[in-house]
Amino acid sequence: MSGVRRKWKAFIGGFEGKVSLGILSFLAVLAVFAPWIAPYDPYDITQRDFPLDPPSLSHWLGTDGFGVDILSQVIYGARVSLTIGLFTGVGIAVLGGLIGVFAGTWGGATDMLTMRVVDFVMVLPGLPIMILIMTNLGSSFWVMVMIFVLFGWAGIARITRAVVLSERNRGFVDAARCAGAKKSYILFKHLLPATYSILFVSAAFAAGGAILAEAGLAFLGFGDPTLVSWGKMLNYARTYNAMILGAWWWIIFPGIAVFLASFSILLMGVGLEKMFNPRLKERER
Amino acid sequence: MSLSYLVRRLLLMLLTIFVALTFSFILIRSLPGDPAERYYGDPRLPQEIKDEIKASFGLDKPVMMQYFIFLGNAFRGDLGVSFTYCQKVVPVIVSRLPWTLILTVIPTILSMLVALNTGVSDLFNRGKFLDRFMRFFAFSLNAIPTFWLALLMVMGLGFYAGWFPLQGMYDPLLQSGWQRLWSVIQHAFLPWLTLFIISTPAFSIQVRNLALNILGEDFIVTARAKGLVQSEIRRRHVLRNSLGPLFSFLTLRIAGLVGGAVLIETIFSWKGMGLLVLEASRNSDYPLLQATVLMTIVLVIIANFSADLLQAAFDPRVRYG
Amino acid sequence: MKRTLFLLLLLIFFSSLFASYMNVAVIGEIRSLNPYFLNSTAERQVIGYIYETLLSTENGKTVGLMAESWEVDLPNRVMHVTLKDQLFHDGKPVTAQDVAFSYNLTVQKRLPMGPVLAYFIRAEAVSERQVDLYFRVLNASVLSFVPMAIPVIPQHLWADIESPRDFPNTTNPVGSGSMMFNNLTPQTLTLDSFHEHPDAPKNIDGIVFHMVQDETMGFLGLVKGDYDYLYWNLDPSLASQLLSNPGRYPDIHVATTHGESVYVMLFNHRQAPTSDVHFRKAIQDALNYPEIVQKVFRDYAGLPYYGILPKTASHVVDEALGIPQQDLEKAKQALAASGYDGSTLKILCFSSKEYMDMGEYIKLYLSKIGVKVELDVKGHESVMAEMKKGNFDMVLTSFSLGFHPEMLYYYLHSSRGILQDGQVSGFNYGGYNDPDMDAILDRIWTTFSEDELKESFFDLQARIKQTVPMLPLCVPLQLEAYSTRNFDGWLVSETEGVFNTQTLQNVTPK
Repeated sequence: MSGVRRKWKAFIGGFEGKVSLGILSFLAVLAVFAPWIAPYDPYDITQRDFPLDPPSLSHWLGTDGFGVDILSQVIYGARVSLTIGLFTGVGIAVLGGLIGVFAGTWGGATDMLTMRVVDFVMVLPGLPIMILIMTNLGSSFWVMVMIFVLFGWAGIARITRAVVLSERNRGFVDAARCAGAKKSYILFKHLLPATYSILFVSAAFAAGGAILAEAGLAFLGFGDPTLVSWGKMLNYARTYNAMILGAWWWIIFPGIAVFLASFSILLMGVGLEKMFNPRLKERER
Repeated sequence: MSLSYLVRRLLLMLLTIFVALTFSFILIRSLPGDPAERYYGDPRLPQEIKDEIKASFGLDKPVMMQYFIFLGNAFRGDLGVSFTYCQKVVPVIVSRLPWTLILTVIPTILSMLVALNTGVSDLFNRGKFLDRFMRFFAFSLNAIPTFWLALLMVMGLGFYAGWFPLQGMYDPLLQSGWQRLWSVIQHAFLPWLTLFIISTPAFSIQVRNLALNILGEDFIVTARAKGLVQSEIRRRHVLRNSLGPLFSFLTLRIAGLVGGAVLIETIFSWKGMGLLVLEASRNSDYPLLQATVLMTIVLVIIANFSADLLQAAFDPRVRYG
Repeated sequence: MKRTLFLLLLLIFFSSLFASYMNVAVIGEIRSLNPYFLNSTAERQVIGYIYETLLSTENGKTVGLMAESWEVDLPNRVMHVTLKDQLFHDGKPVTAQDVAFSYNLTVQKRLPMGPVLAYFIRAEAVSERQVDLYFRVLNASVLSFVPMAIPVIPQHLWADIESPRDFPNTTNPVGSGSMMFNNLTPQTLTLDSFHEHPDAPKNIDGIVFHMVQDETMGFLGLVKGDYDYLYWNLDPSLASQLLSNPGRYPDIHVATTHGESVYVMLFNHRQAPTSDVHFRKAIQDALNYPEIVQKVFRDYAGLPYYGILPKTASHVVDEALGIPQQDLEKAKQALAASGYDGSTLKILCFSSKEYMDMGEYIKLYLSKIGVKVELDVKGHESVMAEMKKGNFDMVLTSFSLGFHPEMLYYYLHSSRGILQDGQVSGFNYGGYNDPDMDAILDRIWTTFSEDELKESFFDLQARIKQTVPMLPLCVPLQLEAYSTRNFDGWLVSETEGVFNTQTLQNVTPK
């Protein structure tokens, strides 16, 4: 137990840990407590003001072309981005991890077949195919999560399989087998836990990528139409001529929000990487 | 390079292309809606005419037969007729392909060159503040959404400053070849800059990690023992040895690059394959959409194959492994 | 000899320098000039200059375009057409053979013109200038779907085309319209004025259509002077910006004309409570129409008439019926009479901003009288699919009725609303079924006399007010931006906007 605690302390003590957790918790608070923090409700049609108001005392970040307060939209938008990051990260880690571990443990034909599939999925250009799928299945939140997981599990599967393969050749695995342990026991007691560290790190990177991908898709018009999201704000800003009308605040603030969210999660990933693999830290010297 | 390696990679590539074809066929057929509905979907059409039109698209045959017809056509280079272009799909895609290549290949090559230089030189300043700051800065650039950066470029350098044209690939009113070329460069500058800013950090970090690995190797110690100077070591050993794995890293990025071009092309109205996918989607032009996605996959496969070859060229461990 | 040649070349050179072309921006791409396969708005906009049809419509009235005169033989379902004396762009005359060829091609090659394939049998050239059109079914709407829709193409150029489906027609499109093809590049289309045509522009040599990707680029080009006209409906915010800052944009003007499409709410007449007329009237009286116009359309929309038809259909619109007004008390009474049980209803809605905002306001108003609704927002294809299945309580959509008011037949006749095998038989998605309405619509369908037609339309609108089969919401105005920097002589028409035939003939370079 104390090993974990030590690592956790190392993580929090480090620069990456402090900054990323700080920003993330701030965003998480915004997302969870949005109705109480946001000055206006962007979903309420009666709370609209003058359109295209520059930042002022009543609207700290200004209003967009429809009169909706931008600060409130940024706060509510955190919900979409953080949840998509969370579900994608967890989904990819679970799916990719399980597949990678099974492939590594079972070996043989299953392993080879799985790796061919992984190779193929990794070669697919994500965005065009996502556009193709969303053209037909619609662009709701869950369709997006599903697509992200479908494209993201491959990389993690490959990494976990590599970890499993290297762990398999350790002494204690042979010892366990001599003692008569079944494959599934070895799997769950030894091999799977060995992959946890890499899974956490990969999940963090995947989550960061998902946030950027969601923003991109929403920007192209494939976001969930009923939810306020940062990418959709940028889509509207472009469609409704924010640039010509001089509404720089409509373009700058949502972009900063996306950047902060993905930056903090990616930074957390780097910090976790250093925490699980102290040798990386030594390279800093 | 061993012949068996080359043949193996080639066969694998063909197999992957075949799988991609099958995959795209399944994808299109399994999605709701009929690919040719726009031709017979009008409720006023009498049933016989509907059936006739369906048959002319081959939709009355069993699915397996449609699959084989599809494969046969694909090998002959016929991927259908676009609804919106009224032409065969393949020529349309082929006409847009060079523009995407111009947009993505040039900044990627530049990125790699710059990354090789900075990645290798930063190395020797390990531990100093500048190095840590540069790495942190590079890392942050990774987290910026590509399209937002592009928007800011267009807004700042294009609109407010007026230094660069805002959209398109060249000024259509120019006549001479040289004027056109210069116009293309002018229009491409901002997208190139955006892609360059996005790609370089990732490459640099990768190069730096590779170089760190290499420096820990024994032969470097030998080199120093032999009395080689830092810059010599850098040039002779570190650089050459990191090229191979760098190409391997490139293969991971290619899929993202070709896909990510969609965002850049949208913002700069750059009529390449990425924008083609988007337009086909908006117009429900299924033959074009399917074929573009398919050809994008094939493009990525070929690019990976080339990167593998380049990696093998620079890294003996791979080609004799 | 050499000197004359030199002077001639000089003349051509200078005249090309002074050749004045108007620059028009269009949104979208012009990928093919095949008049049977038009996909983008831009293509639809430009094709009308190159190719013509036999008949056209003006304010709801049928007028002859290439047809000098025509005669409808209703019992035999034949139409006899006499052609005007016209030339194709390559100088060859337009003959009845060309017209017959164009019409028969659609049927022979099964081209995607649904109503033509359904209603039209064949065409026969009777003499040099006379064609007979044989129909399977003949009524007022068939007129708008067949002779107003089929382009007349030259037989001598199209006879060898095996498959029109993959013929983009971008090398040498030859038609009989007021402008002829000059050049097509990936970014521009140039048309020259075809002086043999009576409607051809007189004082300019032609038009260059520039394909822009979005409104922002078009607008910037207009301000810079690169474009003289933006060929789309301007965003209301931009229009406001232009109109409130005339000093900043000295040459730019905005033409405001009545729109021709009406936003409506459709009801599901096959189930309660929407099948009850009291419920529908309650909803009609609950909405605050001026607020929708102001908040959703920035005041750039007109209030609707009870009879649904917009002002643009000036020939048949009944303005005396009045404009719906919000009256919450009356609405509540009607609601009580309907026996609404308080259940939550779904309003199907497209995912564009205007529709979603309209839906939100409607939800707000309905809550004030105690009707609970939820918005069901979907993408375009999904909404259409649900409508075709009749799977909704209410839908927000829009119908283009300004130029084709007779389309109401398709939206209101009971035969067009039969639900069979999970699909609605026509465009009457809600399944509205009223025998009196059917009778009026049948009359409109088979009348070809002007006065009888107008009378029937008046009856139609009155019946609409009585039974509220669908609810009109507003009529967005048409906003067009144009510049007087390079050209003078722009004429704004009440119903057609600023880019009309009169303007093109009148406009002169500065």
